[in-house]
Amino acid sequence: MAAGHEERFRRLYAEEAAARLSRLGLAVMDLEAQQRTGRPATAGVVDAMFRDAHSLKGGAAMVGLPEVAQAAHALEDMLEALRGDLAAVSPEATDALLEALDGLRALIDDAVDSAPAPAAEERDPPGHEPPAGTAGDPPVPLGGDQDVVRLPRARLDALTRLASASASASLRVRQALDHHGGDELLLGEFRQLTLVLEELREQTLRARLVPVASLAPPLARAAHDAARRVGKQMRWEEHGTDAQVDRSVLERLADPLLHLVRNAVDHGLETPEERVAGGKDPAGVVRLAARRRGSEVVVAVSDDGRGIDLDGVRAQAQARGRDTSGLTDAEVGGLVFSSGLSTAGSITELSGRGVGLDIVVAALRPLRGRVEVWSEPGRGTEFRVAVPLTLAVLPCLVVHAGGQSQAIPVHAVEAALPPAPPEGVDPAACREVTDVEGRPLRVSSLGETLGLVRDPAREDPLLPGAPRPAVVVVTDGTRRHGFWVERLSGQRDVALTGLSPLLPRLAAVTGTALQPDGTLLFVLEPAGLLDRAGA
Amino acid sequence: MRALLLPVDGALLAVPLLATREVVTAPTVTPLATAPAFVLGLFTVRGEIIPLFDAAQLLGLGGWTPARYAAVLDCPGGAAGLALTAAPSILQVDPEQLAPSPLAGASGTVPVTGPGRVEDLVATLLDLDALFGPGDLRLEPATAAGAGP
Repeated sequence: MAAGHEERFRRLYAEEAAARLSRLGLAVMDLEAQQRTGRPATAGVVDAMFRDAHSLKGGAAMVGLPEVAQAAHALEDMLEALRGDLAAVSPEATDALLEALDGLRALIDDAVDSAPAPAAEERDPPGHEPPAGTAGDPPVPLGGDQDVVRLPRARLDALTRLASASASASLRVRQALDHHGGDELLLGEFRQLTLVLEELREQTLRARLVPVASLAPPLARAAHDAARRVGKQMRWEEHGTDAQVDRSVLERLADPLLHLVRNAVDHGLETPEERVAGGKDPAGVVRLAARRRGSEVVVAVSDDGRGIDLDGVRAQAQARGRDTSGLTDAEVGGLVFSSGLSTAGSITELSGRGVGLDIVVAALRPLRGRVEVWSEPGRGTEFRVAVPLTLAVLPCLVVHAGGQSQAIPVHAVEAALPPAPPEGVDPAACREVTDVEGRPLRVSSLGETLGLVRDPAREDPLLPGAPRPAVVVVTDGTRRHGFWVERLSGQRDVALTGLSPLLPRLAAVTGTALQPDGTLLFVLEPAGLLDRAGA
Repeated sequence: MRALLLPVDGALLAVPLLATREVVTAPTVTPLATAPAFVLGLFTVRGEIIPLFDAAQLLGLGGWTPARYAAVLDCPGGAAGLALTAAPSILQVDPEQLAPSPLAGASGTVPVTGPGRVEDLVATLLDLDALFGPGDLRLEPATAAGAGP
C-alpha cells in the first residue's frame, strides 16, 4: 500500500472506529444498568459488542496498526469471557471494559495524529471548490447497514450554494419569460424545471442533516463518568433523538450539552441514600430528548433529581447586588444563566463554580439558539435548548437601507414599527422615538450605521411620494436599538453564503445571499450592528 | 511562464496566466458595508459571490480603481477579483528577468515586452500566495510607495 493511501485508509479506519467505540460505550452502560437492576445481562448485547471488537481488530490489522489490533484482541478476550458467563457482569467488569475502550480510542488517536498531514490535493481549503467536471477524490464507500459515502464538507457547501443559486436563476428566467413571452410548451417545460430545482435545493439541504442521537454516546459516557466520580447512580435515557439537525449546528451543540449533562448529574441527582429516603429509585434518570418544532430543533437535558434550589439562587443573586424581590420562581430559575451564579450550593470538582450555564448561553449565541429551564423541587430539572434546524437557511426580515437589501435575522428583531415620527420632523434626523409599549427608543439610520451612502429617505422623506421609513427594533438580548429603514420587504428564508475567507472579518455583516432578481442581499450580525450604533 | 498583464490605475501588474479563471467586463459591483477601502465590493459570476479588490490600494499605490474589468483569480484562499482600468493582455515572462519589487505581496518586477507595449515599461508580478493565501488574513493595505513605471 503506498504511503499516501495508507494514511488515507487509516483516517477512514479511525472515523469508523470512533463510531464503533461510541456504540460499544453505550452497550457497556446498558450492561451496567441491567446489572444494577438485577436483570441478567442480555447475550445479544454482548454478542453485538464482540462483533464490533472483532471488526476493530480486523480493520486495525488491515491498515497496519498492530498495537491497536492487539488492544482490540484483548477487548475481544474480555467479551469472550462474559459471553461464556453472563453472570460475571459486575461494576468492576464494566469499568474494565470502559477503560479498555478509552485505551483503544487513545491508541487510534495517537496513530492518526502522528500521521503526516494529508497531501495538498486531498484537502479542501476553505472557499476552494473543485472545478466543475473533475471528480477530485472519489467518494469512499463504507461498509455497514446502509450504503454511505463520505465527502468533504466544502463540497457539500458548494452543492448547497449551487442548488440555491439554480433555484434563484430559475426565478430570473421566469421573470424574463413573463417579460418576453413564451409559448405554452416552453412554459410547461419551465414549470417542470422549476419544480425539479426546488426539489434539488430541498434534498441538498436535507443532506446536511444528522440525527441528534449521533451526539448521544459521548454525552452518555460523560454522565456515566460524572456519576461514578461523585458516587451517584445514573440511568441514561434517550427520547426522540432521531430528530435531525444540521451537522454544523450539532457539532457546536456538543459543548453546551456536555455542560448540561454534567450539571444534571452533579447538581440535579441526589445520592442513592437521599433518593431512597425520598421514596425514589436509587438510580436517577438523566434523559436526552429531542423534537422538531417548525424550523427549530429543541434538545432537552433533564433529570429526576432534587430540582433547582430557588432560595439558594435568590440568595446568591441578592448577594451579588441583584434585586430579586419582584421576580417569579420561573424568573429566578432563569438567573442560573447569569455569570457567577450556580445551581449548587457547593463547589465540586465537576461544576458549581458559577461557570457553566452562562457559558451555555454564550455558546448558543452564534448558533442563534436559546436555552430555557424548568424545575420543580423534588421532581427534577429540564434544560431546553432550541437551535435552528440549519444555519444554511436563516429566517430574516428583509429591509431596504443604504441603497441595498439587508437581511436582519428574525431572532434579533423585536419589532418592526410603522413610520411614526412627529408631524413635520425629518425621520432620519429623529434620534428617539416611542415604541409600542410607550418606552423611549434610540434610533439611527441603518444605511448610515453601515457606512453606506446616505439614506435616500434622508434626502427629503416628507416629500409627497418619497418612501416613508419604518423603524426596525433590533436586540441581542440585553441591548435594543431602533434603525430607520427605507422599506420593509417582509420575512424570508435566506440561503446564507458566508463571506469569502479572503475578506477581513466584518463586524456587522455575516454573509450574503443571491436574490431571485440576481442582486445581492447582505445578512447583518445583530450584535455588531448594535455595537456600531453605540447601543 | 505566461502572465496576464493587468492595467491598474496607471500601474502595470501581472499574475500567472494559470491562476486566472476569466476576465469579466463591466462587473456589477455591490459595495460591502463596513469593509476597508481596498475591498471595492462583491460581484457574482454564475452564482458564485466573489470579492473585488482594488490592487492599487491593497499594494499601497493609492488612488481608486474604477472597475471597468475584473480579473477572476483562483487563489489559495479562494476566488478573488482584481479591478482593472483597461483590458488585460498576455505577456511572456522570463523568470530570469525578474528584478526585486519594492511592493509588499509582489514577487518582483519584469520588463514588459508583450504586444502593444514599449520596452521601457515594467510590470509588477504579484505573489498571489502572499496576497490571497489561506489562513489569517493578511489583507492589510501595504505602506510601500512607488509603482513600476
